[in-house]
Amino acid sequence: MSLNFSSPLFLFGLLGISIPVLIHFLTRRQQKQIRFSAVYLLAQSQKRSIRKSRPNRLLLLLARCLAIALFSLALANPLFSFREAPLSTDPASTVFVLDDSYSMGIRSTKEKTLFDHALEYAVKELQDAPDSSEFSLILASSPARIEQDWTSNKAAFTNKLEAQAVSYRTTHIGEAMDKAIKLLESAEQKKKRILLMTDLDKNGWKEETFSKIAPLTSYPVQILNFSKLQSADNKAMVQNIQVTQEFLTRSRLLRVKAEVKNFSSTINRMPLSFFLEGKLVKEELPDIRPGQTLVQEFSYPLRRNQPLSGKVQFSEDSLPADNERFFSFHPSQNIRVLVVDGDPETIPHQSESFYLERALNPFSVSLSHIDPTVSTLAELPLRNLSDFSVIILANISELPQGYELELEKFVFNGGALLFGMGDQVSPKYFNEHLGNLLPVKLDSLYHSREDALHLLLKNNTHPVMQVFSPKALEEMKGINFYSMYTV
Amino acid sequence: MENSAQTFDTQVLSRVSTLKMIAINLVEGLLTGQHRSRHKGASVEFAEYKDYSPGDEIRHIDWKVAGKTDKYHVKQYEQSTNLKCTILLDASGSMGYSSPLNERAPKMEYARNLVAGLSYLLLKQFDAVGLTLFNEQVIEHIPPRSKASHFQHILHGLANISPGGTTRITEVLGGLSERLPRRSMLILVSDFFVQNQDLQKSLKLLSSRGLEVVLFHVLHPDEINLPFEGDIVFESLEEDPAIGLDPQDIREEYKNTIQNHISALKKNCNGVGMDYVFMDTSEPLDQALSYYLLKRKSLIKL
Repeated sequence: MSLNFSSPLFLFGLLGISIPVLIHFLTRRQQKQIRFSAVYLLAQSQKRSIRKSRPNRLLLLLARCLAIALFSLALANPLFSFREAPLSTDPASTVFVLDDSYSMGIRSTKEKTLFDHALEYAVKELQDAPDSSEFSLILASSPARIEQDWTSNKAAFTNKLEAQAVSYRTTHIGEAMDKAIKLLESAEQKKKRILLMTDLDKNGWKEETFSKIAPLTSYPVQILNFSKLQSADNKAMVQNIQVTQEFLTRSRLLRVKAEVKNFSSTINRMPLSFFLEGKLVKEELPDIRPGQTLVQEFSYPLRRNQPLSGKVQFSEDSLPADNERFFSFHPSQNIRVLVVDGDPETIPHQSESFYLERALNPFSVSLSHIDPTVSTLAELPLRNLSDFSVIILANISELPQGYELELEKFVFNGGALLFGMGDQVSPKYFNEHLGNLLPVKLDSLYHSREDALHLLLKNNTHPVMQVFSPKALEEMKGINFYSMYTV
Repeated sequence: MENSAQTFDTQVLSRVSTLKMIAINLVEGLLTGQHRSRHKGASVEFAEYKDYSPGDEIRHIDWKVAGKTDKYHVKQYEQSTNLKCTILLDASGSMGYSSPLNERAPKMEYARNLVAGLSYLLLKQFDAVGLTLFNEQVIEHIPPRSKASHFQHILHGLANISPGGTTRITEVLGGLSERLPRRSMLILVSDFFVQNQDLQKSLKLLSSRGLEVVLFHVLHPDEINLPFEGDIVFESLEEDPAIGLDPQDIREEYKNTIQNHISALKKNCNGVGMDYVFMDTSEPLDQALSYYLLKRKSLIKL
């Protein structure tokens, strides 16, 4: 049997025993010796006295010392391990089955995780082992694998052990044990054993896998449970994180949705922080009922189009790894345009939208920074309007029932809406249903039967016209219009 | 004796000497004075021979001696021996108690002064005073004499006391009662810390011998109040085994015990017609003694 301490620093508390001893000596009423005449009367009085004399001060001192010692020992967290005579001279073949699953990352103290303790234990075991013992290492996170085959080189094996880290995987003890037994069959030493270091997390122990391992009892298995060292519960985790960009608003928004879960049974509120580029941007105190999951949304105005990285983080608990989730996001610089074709043709190039799409994006998105998407009226309700900055309604007759409200919301949130006139357009419908959106009231369709109509472009001071070069303006004057709506 | 004048409080002696001790009970003795005697006219006791000198009464010449030695010797008589008083002073270990708490006179010092005062008083009124020191047995015995110079002997006897041994008052009194002259006075000064002894029986014995007995019960305040604090190992001044305790735990019980002890002794004395005087060493000696003598004086039936 051996005794280890998980927090040996607390053993300094044993020095505290000196306090009651000091108190004992300082407050010790000096045991005076008095030569007295009527001692026999004192003895008689003592016999008759009902009042019990006070507890022996020595006993009191002992009790105090014991209390302090036990308290210190309890804080130091003693680990009793009943190992088979570690100093036995017989060399043995030992399989170290090391549970490196995610849950072993739980902290016991501020600096140490359960996994660190397991590693420490393994290294110590290794040092204590007699020469010519051989060792092998199996990692028990799913899928279990042999990390190190039989070796007698203690130094190399120690390095191997110390290089291990907690994985993000689950546990598969059964598979690991199966592999360990197979390894032991090829072991050289007579004395064979399995040393399983785990936190006994439930999900790693699947009964069906154990039932398959027949000769499990033929080798001594020593299970070291490290879960007792866990300092506190795992209170919460950030389960998932989703980053979206919103184009509609005047300034584009980055929306980060964090799915958080509360594991504790008592605490309702835990601070949740949102970091962007290493800086704390926002802190929330969401109210999550014990055992519940909540989606907390953070939004951040995007001012630049550079890639962003950040994280959502919970306050600390015993398992820090699941308290934060990172994200990185490259905001799109492109203007996404939804072109709704009110009169699509089966052959693409016969549709007006075909030309519009080409016009918006002649070569590639990276050049024009305009990303058009063509949609039919029927597809329109399936589209998420917040994914687009601009909607062009090209030659549509009627919108789906009630869709004008969606469009109004879109415009209200900062979206741009363009109407492309055409033969499908009914002024009556437009005036009745889209009156709020239209700058003018449509009157009637006017057909020019003789010559085509041209743009005059006399006054080019409007900001919209500024983007066109004079040459382009000249060209625009040559465009023929055969019909128009009067307002 | 060294510094006997310092050892004994002269103030005490002078103040006490103004009061005269008067025996109440009839005591044998012929001397004229304030003492009444049942045996008036009875011969006085022979004391010693003295060479004849002119002026001595011729009738006191011992003619038998003159016939044998051809020299005139005059018989001298103990004229002042109207009261024979033996002071019995307890010199056992317990009397040697001195308080570790304050610098009051040790108990033995107090008892010594008391005895000296009494002796001086008795000698001044020409009574014979003897001193007997005892613990398990009689240590020293100074027979009663009435000469003024006898005071020095008594003082010597007192000065040489070193308290020790256990108190065996019954045995001592049993032995002494035979030797003490009948109808004399016996002053017993002790703390009466006696174990397993039938004090009452001894007192009865003395009383039956026609002795006038006065008991001076001398106790130190520490012995009455047990004022000690803390864990203390009490070692006996006599032969009792030491005992370690916190006096606070037993103080009340002890006070009851000692008061019972005092009252039992007082009751015993009164039962056999003896005087009992309780003396607390914290009280000034002259005060305590004066008080007692005045009390006796008031009882006198002249």
